[in-house]
Amino acid sequence: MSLLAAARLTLAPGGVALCQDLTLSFGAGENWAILGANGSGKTSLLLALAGLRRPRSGRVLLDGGDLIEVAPRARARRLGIVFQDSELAFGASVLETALTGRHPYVSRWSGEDAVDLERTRAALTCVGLEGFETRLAGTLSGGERRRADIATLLTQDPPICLWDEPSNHLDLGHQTQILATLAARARRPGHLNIFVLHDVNLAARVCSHGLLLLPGGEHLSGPLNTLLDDAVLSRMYGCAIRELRVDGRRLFMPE
Amino acid sequence: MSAKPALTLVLLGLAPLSILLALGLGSIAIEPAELWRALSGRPNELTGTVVLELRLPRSLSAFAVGGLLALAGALLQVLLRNPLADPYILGVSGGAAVGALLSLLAGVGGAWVTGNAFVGALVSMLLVFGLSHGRGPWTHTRLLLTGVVIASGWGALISLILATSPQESVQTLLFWLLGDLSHADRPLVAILILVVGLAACLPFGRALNLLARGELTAAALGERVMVLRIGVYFLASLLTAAAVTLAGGIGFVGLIVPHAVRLLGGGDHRYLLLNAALAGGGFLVLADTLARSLIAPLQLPVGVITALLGVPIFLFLLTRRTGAQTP
Repeated sequence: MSLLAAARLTLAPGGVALCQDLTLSFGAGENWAILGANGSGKTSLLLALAGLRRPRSGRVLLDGGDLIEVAPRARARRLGIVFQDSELAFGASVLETALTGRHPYVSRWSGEDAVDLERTRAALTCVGLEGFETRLAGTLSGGERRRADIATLLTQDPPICLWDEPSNHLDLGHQTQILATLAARARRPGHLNIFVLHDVNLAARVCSHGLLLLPGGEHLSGPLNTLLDDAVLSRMYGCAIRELRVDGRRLFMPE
Repeated sequence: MSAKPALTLVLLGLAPLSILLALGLGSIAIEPAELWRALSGRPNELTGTVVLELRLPRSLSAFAVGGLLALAGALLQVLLRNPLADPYILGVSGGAAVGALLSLLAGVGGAWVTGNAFVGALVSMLLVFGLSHGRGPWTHTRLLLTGVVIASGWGALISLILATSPQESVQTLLFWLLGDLSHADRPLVAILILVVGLAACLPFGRALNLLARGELTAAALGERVMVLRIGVYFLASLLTAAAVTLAGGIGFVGLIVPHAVRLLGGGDHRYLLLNAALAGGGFLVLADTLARSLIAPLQLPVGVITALLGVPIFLFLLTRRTGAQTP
């Protein structure tokens, strides 16, 4: 069943038409990779899918209904997003930052309870930030800050998660470990991940489906392993890319 | 987490102390024993007049006005995402000042000055909102620039009024501009406005924490960002308008107090807003006490005292904090 869908979606951030007439449905249990060159509209598409940016035309459907008509609080319980750049509050600790993920579930008239705190600590442990609870978020390194952002969405824990370059600033160890953890979430019933990624090999490791945004607003989608080959990647990134096979695994590298 | 309400509790304790100090000090010092007798309903002729009729309403007004200014400053710093924002940055006080000065010049007194100051503040508030809204998104940069330009416009009008008014009235006008609590004799109204303002924004403390991080973050976590921002704008403007109308343009309280409590007690708005209101109130009570005691029986404009006190206190807090914990 389709959890999230684009229906004849066209985006035109800054007046440039990107990602024209996209119709695509994202289903439960799937891990999607959105790939494309710089400026191809990956982030714009993700913001539109999150209901945070109005498309030029077309609609985004959440559980079959128009996303625009869903109340923000109800929406935040169904889907969440990690942005490409984190927005940090001045003077907030790591725990306080990650705890904001509980915001959609806590009423205005009460505070977070022990269960919320427990979930937040579990999320911090999940990204290797246990022991960082009282650190000011502003004092974290780039990679640690990225993991704090990921922990915030894990704390929010909506069925549909959108991740804009979650592996940015992460070292190889954290990249593989954290991305595998995130991808495993899609195995829970009714869950879905959509990743914007730059690393094709990382995408091939963790994702089941792919959406390629090609030059000129063209796009291709489908199961990722049938979608990826050296010709389409070379065209997408505008440079020669070769496919290698190492221990039965496909790897793509620039010439 | 448990340390957070600590500053709030300390400030709750300090607030009545500041009022007591204000009741005891001034051109005539009142002994604590006399003060107690007056407050417990057995005043003598002197303390009855000085403490109950003059100093009590004035210090309560000072508390309310200081609280209003600090609360409005804290709200505007989130709304504009700018640490330099103070309650006057968007021109509300300028509009109020033009209204008040014109009434003072026209020679109408009391309620007319107050009423026209409030009308001026409202005109400015709606003008800035209308001009900055326009087409396209209502960004904090556009709001800030519109407000600053309108404030400069009011500034020019104020200078024009001062330059063309007769010599003997300039002193009165300047006192109003610098802030003056000697006519603030209706403390209950001011305190009521402060309580209502606090009650209106405290449930949104967590939402404001998100707004301080960024509009996208707040929207992604389920806030109606546009509605929230418009609400914060009008609430902060109305609080400022009330403060300016009651006591003129008292500077620095709304800029420095929110920062000071943020440095001391953290940036969580569920506590910050209440802390700012309490600290702003206590601070202005003390400043006003100094303003009427330092060269008694003459009085200094309280705005001068708030600046002279606020600048060194704030610089001290800033250097102390950066040494301990750099964000």
